[in-house]
Amino acid sequence: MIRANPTLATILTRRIAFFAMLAMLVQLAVIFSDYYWNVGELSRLFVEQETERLASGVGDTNGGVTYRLPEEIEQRYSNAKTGYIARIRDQSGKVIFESCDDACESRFLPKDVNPPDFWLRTLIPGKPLTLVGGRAFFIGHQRIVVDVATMGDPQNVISEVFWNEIQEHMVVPMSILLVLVLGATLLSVRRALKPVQAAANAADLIDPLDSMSHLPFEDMPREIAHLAIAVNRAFERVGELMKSQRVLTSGIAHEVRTPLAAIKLELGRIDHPRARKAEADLDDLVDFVSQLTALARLDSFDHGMFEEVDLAVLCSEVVAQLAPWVYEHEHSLELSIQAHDVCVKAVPALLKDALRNLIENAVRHTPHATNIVVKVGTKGVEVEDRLAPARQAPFDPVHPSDGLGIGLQIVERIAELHKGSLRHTLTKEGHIFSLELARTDRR
Amino acid sequence: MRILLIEDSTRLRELLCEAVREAGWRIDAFASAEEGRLALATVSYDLLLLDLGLPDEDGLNVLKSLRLAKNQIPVLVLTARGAIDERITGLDAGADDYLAKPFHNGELIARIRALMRRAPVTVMPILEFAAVDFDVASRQVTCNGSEIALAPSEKALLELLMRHGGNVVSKQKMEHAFSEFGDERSSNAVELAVSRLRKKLDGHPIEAAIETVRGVGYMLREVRR
Repeated sequence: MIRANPTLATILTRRIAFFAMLAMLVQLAVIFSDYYWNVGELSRLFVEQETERLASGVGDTNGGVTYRLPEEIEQRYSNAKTGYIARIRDQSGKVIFESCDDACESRFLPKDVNPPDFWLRTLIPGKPLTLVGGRAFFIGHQRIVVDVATMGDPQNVISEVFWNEIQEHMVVPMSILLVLVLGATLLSVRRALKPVQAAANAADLIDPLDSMSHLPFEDMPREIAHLAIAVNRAFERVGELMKSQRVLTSGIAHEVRTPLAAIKLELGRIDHPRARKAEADLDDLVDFVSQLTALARLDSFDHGMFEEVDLAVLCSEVVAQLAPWVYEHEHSLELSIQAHDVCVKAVPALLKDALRNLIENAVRHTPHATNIVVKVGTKGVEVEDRLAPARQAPFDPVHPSDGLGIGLQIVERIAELHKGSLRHTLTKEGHIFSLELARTDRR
Repeated sequence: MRILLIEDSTRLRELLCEAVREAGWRIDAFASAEEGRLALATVSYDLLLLDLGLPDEDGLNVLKSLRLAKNQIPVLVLTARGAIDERITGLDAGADDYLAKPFHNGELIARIRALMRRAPVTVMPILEFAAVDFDVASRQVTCNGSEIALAPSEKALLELLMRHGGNVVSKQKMEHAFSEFGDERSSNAVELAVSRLRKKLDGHPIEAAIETVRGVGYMLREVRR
């Protein structure tokens, strides 16, 4: 979707090009109005252009002057009937080219007159141009005088003059200016957007549940820094909401657990099988409440709590903590370290919760004498329940068929939060729950 | 032994007092942190049962101020905050153990006993666990009055296991205790000593077993025979 949006550089390029074109059109109008009505200026430009073109045919060979009429004006100055005449003389006054006969020559300055470097005489005022003029050039060491005249400008040379003027004094300088302005603008924008790009990259990595997350706005242009600050404020509000939710969860847990504690102690004092049954039901209820509050906590925990965790150390702590409970339920527990120094980026409390849930799940859903093995490998942690040989049945699931329990949902959610996954495999010996986590390099 | 209970729930306070008195200990119970602080300042208690969700102050603050005042009284925290991170916070604040609500009478009494066993000699000069008595001062181990002959290193291991009765003692901790007797400090040596200790205990009618928690350590736990 965002790919369809033009980049800022594209927008700026388009805008600058548009306004440059607009400026050129305005300038064109100004130039046109300025020159079109100024016949004197047009006449001067005509003489300058045509004499220069004619002079370009002059050659200097071993001190001698040669002349060849340039192709683009060959037709125009081939004879006097075209409406244009020209005469080129060297510094001695010798004619090296002329397109008119003696009668035409009467229009130019006499041959024995040493003309000034530039001269112009209007024969008939106004347009079309009827004029005569000349210009002196230095080619090699020779002073060459080029005279030119037009009677009514039948080939509309004036438009060429006009176009050349636009090209030389508008298109070329404006194009150079446009390239420079565009280059400088794009460079400035690129430099100004560099911190924005960095912020965008940082925003990609931002975890909305991490109260420590914020967009860096240092070195940003002020206008964009305001946006980044507003985004950071929004994240702060999310953090506050997380805290409120945690307080609420904790409050609910407290309000439910305290009366449950009183009921359990009271039941413990009643010596009757029904009281034991009620105790067992109460324990299930407590587990459910614990898991619900744990699940609620998962959606509001602070993602800034991630740290590097050694899986072997963490698993050892959990196994030591749960071993009394596991043995009390007539199961056995074992820790098998198959890879050392396996470190992951994790929230230790959550990972412990996940492992505890897997072990508790294994104890609750397997028969007595099942050996529960916690394996630490390069991919993460595996909790394997190995049924006693007498109870083994190939592909006979011992777990209830009511789908994934809330405990395993918690583990799945914790795995997701750690960018990992929970996998379940059924083997001949029992079940294997693999909590796969991304390994980090040990510092 | 005299225990102080600070718990705001009236019903729970009554039930806990009953359970503790039935176990043969004395107990004083208060509903607020302020009353509890006053009691701690005036009476010398052997153990504190502390609820964290008190009406006038967070129990964790009471605990922190106790530890700041260098009061080493064993503290068993009773709370509804059962999440592991909250338990860690409690233990970090200076609690010796943590019991999440709801809990069973038996579990409470067992935890109190375990804390007493871990406490200095003055609190419990004779460690008791599943019919085994360990006189810390005379280093004599008896079962129903008859002495169990153990080597000094075996007694050290047994004392360690009894002080943490019902909980796992890490292999490293046991190796450390074992090495104090100048013996080889290795896993094999500990395993052999534990094996010898098991055999010697098996000859007596004790209701306990040393369980091996593979990869972690050993645990002395009560078993019904």
